[in-house]
Formats: sequence, C-alpha cells, structure tokens
Amino acid sequence: MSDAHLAIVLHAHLPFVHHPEHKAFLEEEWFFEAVTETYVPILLAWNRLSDEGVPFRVTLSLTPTLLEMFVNPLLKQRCRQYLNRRIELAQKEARHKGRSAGERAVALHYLERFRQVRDFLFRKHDGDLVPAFKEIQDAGRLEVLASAATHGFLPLMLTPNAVRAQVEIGVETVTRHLGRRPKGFWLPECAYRPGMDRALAEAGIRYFLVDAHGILNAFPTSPHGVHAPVVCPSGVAAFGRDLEASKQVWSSEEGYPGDGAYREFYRDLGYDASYDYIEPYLHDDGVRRNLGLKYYRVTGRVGLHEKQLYDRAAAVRKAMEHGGHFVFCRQHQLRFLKSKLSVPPIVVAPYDAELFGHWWYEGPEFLEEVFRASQLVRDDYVVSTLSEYLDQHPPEQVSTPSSSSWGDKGYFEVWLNGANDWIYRHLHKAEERMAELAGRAAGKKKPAAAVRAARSAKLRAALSRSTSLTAMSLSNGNVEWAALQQAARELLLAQSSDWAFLMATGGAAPYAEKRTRNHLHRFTRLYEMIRSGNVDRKYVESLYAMNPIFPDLDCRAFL
Amino acid sequence: MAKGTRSKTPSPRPPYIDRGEPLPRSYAENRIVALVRSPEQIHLYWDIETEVRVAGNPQAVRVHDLTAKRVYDLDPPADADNWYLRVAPNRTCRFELFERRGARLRRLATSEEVTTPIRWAGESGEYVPAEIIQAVRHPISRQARAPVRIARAPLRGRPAEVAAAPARRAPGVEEAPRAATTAAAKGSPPASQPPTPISVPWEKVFAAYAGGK
Repeated sequence: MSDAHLAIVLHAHLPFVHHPEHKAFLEEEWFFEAVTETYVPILLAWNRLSDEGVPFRVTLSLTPTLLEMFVNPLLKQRCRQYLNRRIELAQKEARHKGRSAGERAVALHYLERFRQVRDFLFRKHDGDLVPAFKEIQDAGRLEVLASAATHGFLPLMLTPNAVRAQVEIGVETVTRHLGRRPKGFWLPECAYRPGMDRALAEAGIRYFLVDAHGILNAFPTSPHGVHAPVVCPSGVAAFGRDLEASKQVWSSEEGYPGDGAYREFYRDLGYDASYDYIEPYLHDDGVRRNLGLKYYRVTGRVGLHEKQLYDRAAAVRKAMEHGGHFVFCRQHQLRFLKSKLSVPPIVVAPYDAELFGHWWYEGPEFLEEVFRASQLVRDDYVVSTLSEYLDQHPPEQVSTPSSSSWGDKGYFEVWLNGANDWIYRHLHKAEERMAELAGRAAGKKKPAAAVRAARSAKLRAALSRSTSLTAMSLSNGNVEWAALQQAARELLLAQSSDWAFLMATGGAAPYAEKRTRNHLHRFTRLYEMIRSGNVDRKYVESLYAMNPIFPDLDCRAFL
Repeated sequence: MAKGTRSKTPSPRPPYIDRGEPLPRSYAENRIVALVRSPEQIHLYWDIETEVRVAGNPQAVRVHDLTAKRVYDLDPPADADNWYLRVAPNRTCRFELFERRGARLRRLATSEEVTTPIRWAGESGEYVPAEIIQAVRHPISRQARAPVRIARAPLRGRPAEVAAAPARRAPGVEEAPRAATTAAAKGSPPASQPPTPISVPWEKVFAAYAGGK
C-alpha cells in the first residue's frame, strides 16, 4: 500500500426550485435532468463497483438545497411524470419508421436508461435518493461534505452572522438527512476569504477545499503546494485543487469530454424533430428546448449539422480508455510528488457532479473506470476520502489560504459585476435586519412540540406528515415564531450564489432576478410585520407552502 | 388552439418578462460598503439619508490606502451610488463617504477595512518561508521531516503600525451623526480585532531566508 493519495471530490448542487403555484415549471427540470443523467447513473456505477468489491472512495458534497429537493413530495411526483414522458417519447422514437436503424438503436439506449432510472428511483428507493447515498456512506465508501445552507456566496456577505447561519444551518441539514455529522465543508464556488474558516471551526468542521491559487498564495507559503493540506489558524485544514487532474477533465478543448466519440450535448431531438411531432413534449410556451434525446456524437470541430451518429458502445469504450489514461497520469504524478515532498502527497480532484452524465454523458462510466483501474496501481497511490487522509497525516503547515474562488478569473468577478452588483446592498440590509429579528427570538423558547419533532430520529416521516416546526408553530398559534423562521428562509433563499451567477452568465437571468427580488421583498414584508406585531398568518403559510425548505430552521442561527 | 391548426412555429407573444417584486432604491441611511472583487479591484456602494439626498450636494469618496499610506479622493458623478476602484494587490484600504458643502466636507459614513489578495506568491517581497524553513530551502532534505510547529500564524504580513493607524480627522471635516452607521454595524463583531499574539520569531525567519538566497 502506498502513502500517496488521490481524492475524487464531487460537488452536487442545484438551487431550490419548487413552484407548486404552477402546473409545470421549466426551471424545475434542472433537477429532473440532473437526477436522470447524473445522480442515478453515478449511484448505479458505485453500486456496480460495490458489487464487484472494488474498494473505491469518494468525497461528495450534497448541498442542503439539493437534499431538501430529494425529499420533496411535489418534486418526486413531477420527476416521475418527467420520466414517464421521456419513456413515452423514447418508445415512440425506438419504433419511429422515419428514423435510421442507428438512430433507433440510440433511442433504445435512452429508453433503457430512462426505465433503469425510474426503477432505481421509484421501485427501489421510493423516489428519494438520500437513502441510496446513505447506503454507500454507511458502507464506508462515500464521505458526504456539508455545504452552506443555500449555497450562499460567503465572502461577499457583510456580517459574520450571515456566514455563520449559512454554515450552521447547512451542517445541521446535512446531518439530519445523512444521519452523520459531516467532517468536511464544501465552500460554495470554492469561495474563501481569510477568516471565514472561523465559522467552520465553530460548526465543528475539520476541513474545506479551495482552488489551487488559494493554497499557492497562502501565507505563509506552503512548501508542499497544493499536494498537502495546510491548517488555518482556526485549526481547520484546507485542501487545494490539483490543476493537472482538473484540466484533464474540465477543459472542453484539451480535456476528455471533447473527444469525438462522446455524445454531443448541443444536438438534441427537441430541435431536430418536426414541430408537430415534438410539440406535446414541450412546455406550455411551445418553445423548442432540449429533451434529453441526443443522437449524435461530438465528431470533431464541425458544425452541428455535420455531426455523426452516436455509437454508445464505442463511447463507453472511449470512457474506459480515458479512465485508464487518467489513472496512468495520476500514477506518474504521484510517483514524482512522492519523490519530491517530505510529506505524503495527495492529489485533490474536485469536479461539479453534474459534469458527469449531464454535460459529459459518459462521465459516470469514466469515473467508474478510474476507481476500478486505480486498484491496479495500489503501489503508487490509494484512492482516499479527504478525512481519511487527514486521519493518517494531520497537516503541520499552519497557513491562511488566500481569497479565491473557482470561478472565471479565480476571484469574485463572476458574482460581483455590473450585471449583479445591485443585489448586495439589499442582501446586506436584509442580513442586518435578520440579525435584529433573531435578537427578538433570542429570549424565547423554541415551541415545545416542535423541539420534540426536531429531535426525533424519524424526521423524514415527520416531514411527510407535515409536522414541521413551521407547520406546528402555525397550528400552535405561535405565528410570530413561524414568521421569524420564514424570514430566515427567505433571506437564505435570496442569498443563493446561483442567482448572481445566472445574472452574470445570462442563461436564466430574468428568473434569477425574479427569485432574488421576490425573496427579498417577502423578507422585508415579514420583517415589517414582525416589527409591527401584526403578522398575517395566511401570508406566512402561503410562503412556507411555496418554499418548504429547512422545516426545523432555528432563526437564532443569525445571532 | 386546437392541435391541428397550430402553426409550425409558435406565434410570438408580447415579451413580458417577470422580473419580480420591486425593491427600494435606497434605505435612507448613510453608509459605504467595500467589497473585494479581485486582487486589483474593490467594489464600493453607498447610500445616503433622505436629508442629504434632498440637499442635493455631491458626494465624495475618500480612499485611505493604509498599506501605501496614501489618501486620495474620488469624485463620482452625482447620481452614482457605486464604484469599481482599481487598486494594487495586497493593499488594505478603508473608505469614507463625504458630502461636499462648497469647500467643506462632511463625513457621512466610513467603511470597514478590506484587503485585496495577492496576485502571485512572491510579488512585492511577499514571499515568506513557512515555519518549516529548512523545507523551503532544501525541499527534500531530512531536516524537513522535523518541522518546527507554531501555534498560530498571522493572517497576512501587514506591518502592525499601519494596521493600527488611527483614522485621522482631515482638516475641514466635521462628523455627521453616527447613529446610522453604528446601527448598520449592529450584529457584527468589532470592526478591527486586535492582532493575534504571534510566537513566531519573524526576524529570524526573514534573516534565514535572506541568508539562503
């Protein structure tokens, strides 16, 4: 066994999108697509590895918003509808006389995949993926990281209270769902500002991750670069992202996903099929969009109309080949590092989970092969989770990482620019007002019945019976407590880094803007109601119904 | 519309984009907030009380570059309420918002101190060896295996006298009531915490490193 380590870290996150007020909602499909293309395929791959007895180790952040979506009854129901519609379309396609034999074969693959996902999700796991992840966690193969409650961009928050609340509520939520207190923390967007680690230390976190330059520019400089963690003055360790391993997978130009054999993401049946044929599968607005059935491969640097037919078997072979290549590169990289460093080296390779499957369709097979092939090079490195490394090799280098993020240009440019800078004055004001509201709650006792529910181990069951703290506070007549909770909820939702990101990239900018404005507006209304002592019970109820997230939230986290 | 009669492309609807509820333009308080954007940029935004707005006097922003010990003023246009300021990496700055009353300035608000990150390790003499001095000088030597442990390290090598420099009152500056700014800071810890006592013999570390070059 070697004492060089490779840590594969995946970051699974989606913002909380839940719109019961609409019959169907376009942005909810982000979740259904990610479940179908990423979360279930990676779980299937990991289950295969477990069955084979491959001793793989993976570190995964499941953000609190994503966990809350996994257990949400409405989203479960809509996800089932989504899968049924896709199965219906794939069935039609597999029998379509106008399609070539090759296209029908690809359609058949999709049909099989959609059915497999539906069976896994609804037959095996009752629509909830949390137990599926928990099973692998409890087997000791998966380490789940906590993250900020709603993926708030922590360095741009004004008050330490807001940072603490995001951390604390995030850690609590992950603990509640996974039944185990997380040791590590995924900083949203890997965004770090010196001193933020204190909030992590207070929440009992042992380590977090930053981008490579966060460690390379750390003070004092670490002689080991990103290949060994440093420990912050607060006692929390920081791991740095390895550039080589990142680039091989991330880069669309030089990285694996750009290979000609892989599925082309941008050529989709939603745009290729005749309008009348495809119209029943589109949203009410009738605009053509991706439907997840893609028949072509990347091919090369050619126009979308010149793409060639996708060959699933060849693509999977290529993914396995690339998995082997990745392992070969890590083997040589770690051999070299071991000869140069005075501490056991670790290569930390963090990726967005949604890259695997959603963007890079063969990504889950690639990862599977990386774990499988890593067994063959056990003399050169072992695959570990980050806390396994820390247990074996406590860091000795005391250093403070530099401000950084993994966004474009490496700092906070993506989340603070002309398109989104207007949000901060409102968010900051709301932070201060929330601290003031939390002060009102400070002297009060948490409603008794609710405390019992919060401590109950069978919280998920409690959730489905809708006996959450908010629901109970309302039924107990403790409307002010429910309003305080809801105010905290609205602020947290407004803080999601996704909104600023979407405003900057332009993708779903109007939706992002609407979400930010609406949450802030609701927060302000609640704030005024609570201050005037005149809380509108129906209003609070309606807001909670729209965003039933963090049912046991304690707004005193903002103190 | 019946399915059969639907045209191939959907008819264009009037482009209504729901951008959500309106938010106030101002919270009617004097404040200035600085946010670090990158090693070279700081974003500033400010807000003013209604009386100041009604008076219509232009605002000025005073930049205190505490690292370079330099003070200068920005004169943003009258309707501006934010600014992207170009600065150097590894600078600690504080900002003050003023109202111009003819030749006199009236201070409205002061920001917290912010520090831009370094761009590269090693720029402007920043590169300082870690406490494992030998490891830096002889990365694969045996001495590196016996690191000298310290309890805490400073956040950044900032000269203490600059960090602790008191806010000097410029001549011709009168204080505005501080109620708004202190209310704004409620709920946050003291603005500048005293530096953590450090047990590292930095002079020796610097000397060791300089001697090794």
